[in-house]
Amino acid sequence: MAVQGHLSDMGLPTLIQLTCQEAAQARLTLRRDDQEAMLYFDQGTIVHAISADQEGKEVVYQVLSWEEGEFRLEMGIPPPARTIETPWSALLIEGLQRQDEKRWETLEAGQIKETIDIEQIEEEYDMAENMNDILKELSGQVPGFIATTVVGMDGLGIAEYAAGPVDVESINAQMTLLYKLVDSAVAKLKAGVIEDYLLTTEKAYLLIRSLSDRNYYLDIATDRKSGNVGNMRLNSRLYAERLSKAMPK
Amino acid sequence: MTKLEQILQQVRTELGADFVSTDVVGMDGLSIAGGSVVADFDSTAASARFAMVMKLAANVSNKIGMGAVEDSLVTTDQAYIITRFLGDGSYFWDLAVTRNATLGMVRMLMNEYANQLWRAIPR
Repeated sequence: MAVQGHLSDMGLPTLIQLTCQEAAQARLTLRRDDQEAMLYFDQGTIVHAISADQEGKEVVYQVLSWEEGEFRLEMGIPPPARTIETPWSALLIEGLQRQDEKRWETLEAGQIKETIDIEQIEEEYDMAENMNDILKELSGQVPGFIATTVVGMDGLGIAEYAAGPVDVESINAQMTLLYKLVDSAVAKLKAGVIEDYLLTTEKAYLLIRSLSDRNYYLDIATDRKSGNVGNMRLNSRLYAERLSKAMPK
Repeated sequence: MTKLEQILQQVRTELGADFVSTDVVGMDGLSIAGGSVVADFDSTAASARFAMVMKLAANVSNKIGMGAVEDSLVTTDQAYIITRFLGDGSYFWDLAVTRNATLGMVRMLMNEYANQLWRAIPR
């Protein structure tokens, strides 16, 4: 079975994460203009990558910068070689870092001066502190509170508050992946714009609500026994508004 | 009319004008019973896409140590879409209702009918 689409609909990092989650053998073919690259997956990670002029990790770093193009994912295809041993998450981080560095290199001196504005950085730092305070306040309003975070659509948290030892980074990464898939399903079905998303599990309620710019969301986790869905939805609405205003611009 | 269709019809009757669409779907993404009041609603696409969502939700919940997934609720500006696993998790039931529906009542209704649907799936 093959799945096809455009990278503008589903970004390559999301596609890689989803394929790795399946933990099956697969081949992902990527095409942009006259360029083509193939990534091979096995047992939940990328094991081989090849393009016209190179193979291995460099191919992955190269295609991570593609924002346009077509993809074709075919399941059940074994890798013809094994040239990559680095875990997929490390490949993604390295690839995205390289893109950032490239962006910096291409900035003119004047643009760099504009980009590094110490006052703005200090202001953003204060705002982030303020966001942590808001999350702490939220925790007192929600019965069965476990944790709450403000997360970017890249899966990285910018503010958090937890009642105890919780792997917030893992929750952020995993819930972002899920939220993106839900968002894409709802968009394809033309079922409107998502206001919130609630996942009920054996142990917890996990609620997501987008902040006003839709690049970040608020995530609240409560204990299944003492949590209250109505209270969570109400508080997520109230606090998402406040957090949107406190968001560093 | 099969037993499954009869039960879904009862749910539809209870929801009245708030009903939009419902399907009982296997984890292969194929619907085995269902229907919609929206003429151009693509039930095949909805079943396939929400099968992917439920699979990923189960994986995610497992990875973050939150146990088995029971249900998933998407609130959009147009509808509530609730998806819940049936029985041993080899099937799920999705139900879409308008934003006029009383969410608490819809969740209660799904609790009430989920076991009946699971028992009515032919084996």
